[in-house]
Amino acid sequence: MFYAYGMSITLRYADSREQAAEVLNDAFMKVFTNIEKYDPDRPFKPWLRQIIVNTAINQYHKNQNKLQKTDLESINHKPARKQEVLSGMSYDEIIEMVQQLTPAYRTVFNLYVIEGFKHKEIADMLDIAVGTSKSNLAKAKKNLQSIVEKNFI
Amino acid sequence: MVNEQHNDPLEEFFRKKVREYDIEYKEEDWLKLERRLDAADTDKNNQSYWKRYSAAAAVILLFSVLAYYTYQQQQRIDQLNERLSRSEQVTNPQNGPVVILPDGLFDFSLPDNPSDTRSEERIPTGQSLENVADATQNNSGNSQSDEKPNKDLQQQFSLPDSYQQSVSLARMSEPAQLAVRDIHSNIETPDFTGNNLTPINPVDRSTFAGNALENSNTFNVQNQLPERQTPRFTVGLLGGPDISTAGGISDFYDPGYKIGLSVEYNLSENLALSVGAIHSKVQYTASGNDYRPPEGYWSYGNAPEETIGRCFLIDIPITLKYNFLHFNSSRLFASGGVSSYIMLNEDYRFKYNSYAAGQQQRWQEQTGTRHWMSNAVFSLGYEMDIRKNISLRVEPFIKIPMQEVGWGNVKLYSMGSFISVNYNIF
Repeated sequence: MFYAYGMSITLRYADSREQAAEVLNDAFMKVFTNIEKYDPDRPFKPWLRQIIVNTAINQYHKNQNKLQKTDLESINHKPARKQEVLSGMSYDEIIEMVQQLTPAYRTVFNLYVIEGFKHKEIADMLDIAVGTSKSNLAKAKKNLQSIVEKNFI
Repeated sequence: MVNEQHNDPLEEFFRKKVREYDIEYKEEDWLKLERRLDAADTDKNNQSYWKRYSAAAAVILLFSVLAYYTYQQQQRIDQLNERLSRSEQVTNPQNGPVVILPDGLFDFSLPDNPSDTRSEERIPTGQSLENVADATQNNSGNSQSDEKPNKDLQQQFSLPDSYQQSVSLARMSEPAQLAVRDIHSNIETPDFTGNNLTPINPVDRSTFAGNALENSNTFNVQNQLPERQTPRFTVGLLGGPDISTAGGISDFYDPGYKIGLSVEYNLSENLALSVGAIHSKVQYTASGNDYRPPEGYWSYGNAPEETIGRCFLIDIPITLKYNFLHFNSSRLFASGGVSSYIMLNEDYRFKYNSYAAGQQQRWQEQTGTRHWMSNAVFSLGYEMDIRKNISLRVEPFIKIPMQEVGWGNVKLYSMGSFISVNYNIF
């Protein structure tokens, strides 16, 4: 149960399933070795989620120097049918799209759109400027649109 | 965490889609995790054993050093006594050998052989020491004057403080006195035959003429020694390193220090009550579980992995000290008691394994909180007299928590060693 939940988070931050499994492995190690810190009076899932997201961010910092920027700027944008195409996409396709983003864009996108952090908080977590966070989010969304249009329309 | 309105359709779409996950479980992923958990468990056990063995080894080493030192001192004392005993075996030309026994007894051994040429001078059982002395005096060619009153030789003489005894001599022949003087020449024995004698208490003649003497021909000099006067109050200036840790005796951080004053009231020669006021700098690291600030300080899930504490406090120890082993001018002692802490300044820095919003980085405040009898304190020490009223002490100590202290409510263990100079005021 928690495996699938954990993978659903790490897959969004990782480049591949293998990397997502590694991050989840690290996160579960933290959970097991720090289980005494868990307050049983509170729900487990938010605590687990916090640890998994933190572990994913740590992974982002580790890989910061190895970033391979995917050139998505040159993708030609195609109009129309976007909403229709999107609604028909599977979960795996969505994840695949997210994984095509650069780690910097992907991480900001996940933290802002999915986790709900503010740009100031994201900037603190990733050690970047608030403006960079906003810029990365905009670029991430733009690139996702481009990927959708390129592959599905 | 969702704090802003995300009205963008793309954002809304992704938020919705990521909840529709259906991820297949892979046994391989769990096996990897299981292997890591087993390895971590093994490491943890190894570390735990290592810590226990280290602590046991440290205790054994400490006691071994103390035992070895005590044994060496005892050997030295025995050797000195033996040498003293041998060298003090002087032959009285008239009355036979006069031996000062290792325990301080003078033994006027008499020949058992009735045919001995000195048998005529043999002291019959029951004869008083005065008569012995008289006989010795009369037969001595070195006596200053036959008419000199015996009372001149019945004076007592005090040895210097370094010897910490006084010796009473009565009517000994001059060779015997010279022999004794020779033996004690290194401790400045006063001139027994001269005029610069230092009389102290009058001789209790009954001591020399009592039944004990009649039965054994031995009189005890040591029993005549006045007791050493124990000073009532001692003040000390002390300092030393402090190594502290929270939660258990492991994971030590940079050492702090302790410096302060102590006042000691001597209840008896061996027992003293001590009170101190010691300004301390305590530095330690505490894991997340060992550091517990007030409820609600950590936002949920954001407790640090490690806290580094730097605190200034006043340590007020109240201890009983017992001298359990005495040497010539030094002693070993043990002490136990309780310490109270008054926190002056508390500074805590928090370290996290991972980043998250709203993490606290530091807490620092001049708190002034008091924690009465928060720690039990035990120590073993060595004290050496360096002047008549001044002594030097080395005192390794350990403080074990009985209560949690500070803003972080930590169980604070401290170890270290005091070095102190102590002065007997009166």
